[in-house]
Order: sequence, then C-alpha cells, then structure tokens
Amino acid sequence: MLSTAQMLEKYYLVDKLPNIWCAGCGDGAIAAALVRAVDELGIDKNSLTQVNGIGCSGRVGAYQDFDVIKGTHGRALAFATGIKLFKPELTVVAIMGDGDCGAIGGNHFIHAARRNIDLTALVINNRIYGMTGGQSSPTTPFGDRASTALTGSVERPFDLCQLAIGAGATYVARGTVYHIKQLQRLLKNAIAHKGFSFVEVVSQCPIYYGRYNDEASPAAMLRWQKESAVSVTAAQGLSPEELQGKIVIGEFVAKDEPEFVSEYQALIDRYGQEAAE
Amino acid sequence: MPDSVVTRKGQRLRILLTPRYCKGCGICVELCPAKVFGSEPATGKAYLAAVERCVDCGLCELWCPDYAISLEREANL
Ligand SMILES: Cc1ncc(C[n+]2csc(CCOP(=O)(O)OP(=O)(O)O)c2C)c(N)n1
Ligand code: SF4
Ligand code: SF4
Ligand code: SF4
Repeated sequence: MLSTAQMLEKYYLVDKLPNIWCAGCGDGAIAAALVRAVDELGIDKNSLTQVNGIGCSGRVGAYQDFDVIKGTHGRALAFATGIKLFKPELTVVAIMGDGDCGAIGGNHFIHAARRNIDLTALVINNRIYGMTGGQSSPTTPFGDRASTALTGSVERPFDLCQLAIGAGATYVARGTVYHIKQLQRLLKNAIAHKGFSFVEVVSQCPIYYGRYNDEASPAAMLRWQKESAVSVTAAQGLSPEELQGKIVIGEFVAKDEPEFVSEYQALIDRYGQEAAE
Repeated sequence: MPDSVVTRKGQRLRILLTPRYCKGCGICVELCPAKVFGSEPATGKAYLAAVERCVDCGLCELWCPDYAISLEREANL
C-alpha cells in the first residue's frame, strides 16, 4: 500500500495543499482511500476520470492528478454517463454529497442504477448540507438537529444503499471513515465491478452536523461510527428495533446483470454490420 | 520535519509528520491505540510524543484528513 508521502507524490497536486476542508472533516481521508484503491487496482491515472458534484465533497478532485470534471449540483451522474458512453475504456468515478446525490440529484441516481451503467458512484454522507451551512438533507436522521431543524428533524431519512438496491444497482456497499481499511477494499471492489457500483461512506462533518448534535470533536465522531457499526451479516439477525441508530456496513449486493454501455455497443455493432451488408 | 524510526514486525518504520499540513483535528492524538501523538498546547497541532510505543496498526496515516502523517517502511527509508 502507498504511504502518504508516496501517494502525494504520485497522485496529488501538492502545491494545492493544505486542503480547504475544516479540521477533522472526513473528506480528506475518503479521498485518500479512493486513491489507494485505484493504485492497488493498477489503474493508470490517465485512464480514470472523476466527476465531482457541488459541495464540500465536490472538492476531492481539486487536489488529485486525475482528469476531473466538476458537474453542476446533483448532475454528477449525468456527466459521468455521457463520459462513459463516449469513452467506455475510461474508469469513471462520480463523487457526491448526500444532498447532491439524494436530493437534487435523486432522479439521476435512480436511473443510473436502473440502467446499470458501468460507473462508480461514491457518496460521502455527512448527514447534512455541509458547504451551504449545515441544512438538513435527505439523510439527516429523524430527530437529529441541523441549521434548518434546530429542534430535531421531523422527516424520515433515506437509506441511500436501500434506495440504490431498489433502483437496481448491481454493487452496493457502505463503509465509514473509522473503518478505513475496509473502505479501501469496498472501493476497490466497486471500481473493479462491471455495472453500476454504489458506495456510501458515513463521514463526519464536525463543523455543522457535529456542532448541532453535541459531537463536535472529530475523534468523538469517529468513535461514534465505530460504536454504531454493525456488519451486513450481523444485521441480518437483528430486528428493526435493534437496528435503530445503527450503521450497517459491508457489501449488500454484488451481482452481474446486463450492463448499459456493453448493451449499447452490441446494438451499434449489430446495426453497423447490417448497414455494411 | 520531525520524524522518528522504530523497528516493528522486523521492519524499520519511520513516522513522518508534516506540521505544515496538520490542522490540529486531534484524530491521531485521540485515536492512536498506543498514544504516540501529543498535541501542542499553543497550536493544537500534533507532535510525536512517544514513537517507541507505536504498534504499527497503520491507521493514523489513513485517518489523517490532511495527509500530515506518513508511515515510511524499510524499503523506502
Ligand atoms: C442548482 C444548485 N442549487 C443549490 C446550490 C447550492 N449548494 C451548493 S452545495 C449544496 C449542498 C451541499 O450538500 P451535500 O451535497 O450534502 O455536500 P456536502 O457539502 O455536505 O459535502 C447546495 C445546496 C447550487 N450550487 N446549485
Ligand atoms: S463544513 Fe463539514 S463537510 Fe464541509 S469541509 Fe467543513 S467539516 Fe467538512
Ligand atoms: S490527524 Fe492529521 S491533521 Fe489531525 S491532528 Fe493528527 S496530524 Fe494533525
Ligand atoms: S501506526 Fe498505529 S500505533 Fe503507530 S502511531 Fe500510527 S496509529 Fe499509533
């Protein structure tokens, strides 16, 4: 595995560091986990294109030496779909926040999953809108506080992994920043998987989510991730009541289904052939 | 650049800390299982307090959100 010094030399725009994120934000460690996963897969950095959404999570590519396109808010998967269809040989990774993917980008998300297009969607779930000031997002847990829910959210949250599964994603996994070695493995498997891969990372935003929910220390938030985590296998034996407040981590789905770009290519080949005859 | 070398699992390991990148978040200080890091009272930045306690779990360099910690293994020393 790459040491940090090796990683910075090979993959980072070091003159852009230190990064913009607040002290203790999860984004930096997740960005590094992605790079280490890519390196272990032996993917040439020039054959990977990143699409970043808008938000704190949308800053990942700003420090990394990949081809990066910054999409508009919620549209990372639309850009990613276009890139993958035009250049199927590229590895395409879209990085989004929970607001980016789950709210404004919700439709792009379910349809990319339904099509089973060969992309990796990485969602950094800090449970709020970070960049715009800690407003509640579709993943803010019921009763948790945010700048727009000072006495606690009265909305039921999305479980983004279950949404991905329901929409037809063929690789679905959840990790946390605390379980960082597992996260690297999940990202490796997701990128290697042919089809729509969805990885949700439970992350910490000490500045907004943490502060509003009396958990401002980044280390305390990581300890909370550790204590709340239950593996997919262990969760199968637990009742819905027992799973309240837990984070289920690991792989939910890894299966092969017809993949959109290959099916589209087959169509082109078939009609191209007919036209030639 | 403070750095220090220990031998773990039969390999020399250097913990390299780059204070310029450190934002003093406290993650390494509070979560290193061997309490290797301390935090400067004035700045909150991490420093190497007891390298000899390191058990080479490898986590600090993966957790540090600011790339301020690097674990350099023997081959690269
Ligand atoms: C079309 C549009 N609507 C709203 C915004 C304002 N905006 C910027 S980032 C953001 C949400 C960020 O939250 P999230 O996606 O969860 O990412 P985070 O910052 O938490 O990583 C919003 C609403 C925008 N840039 N564009
Ligand atoms: S506001 Fe939250 S998510 Fe954004 S950089 Fe700061 S800690 Fe990270
Ligand atoms: S984890 Fe990194 S940024 Fe945080 S205190 Fe330690 S060295 Fe500094
Ligand atoms: S490798 Fe583990 S034990 Fe050693 S300094 Fe880092 S966190 Fe502490």
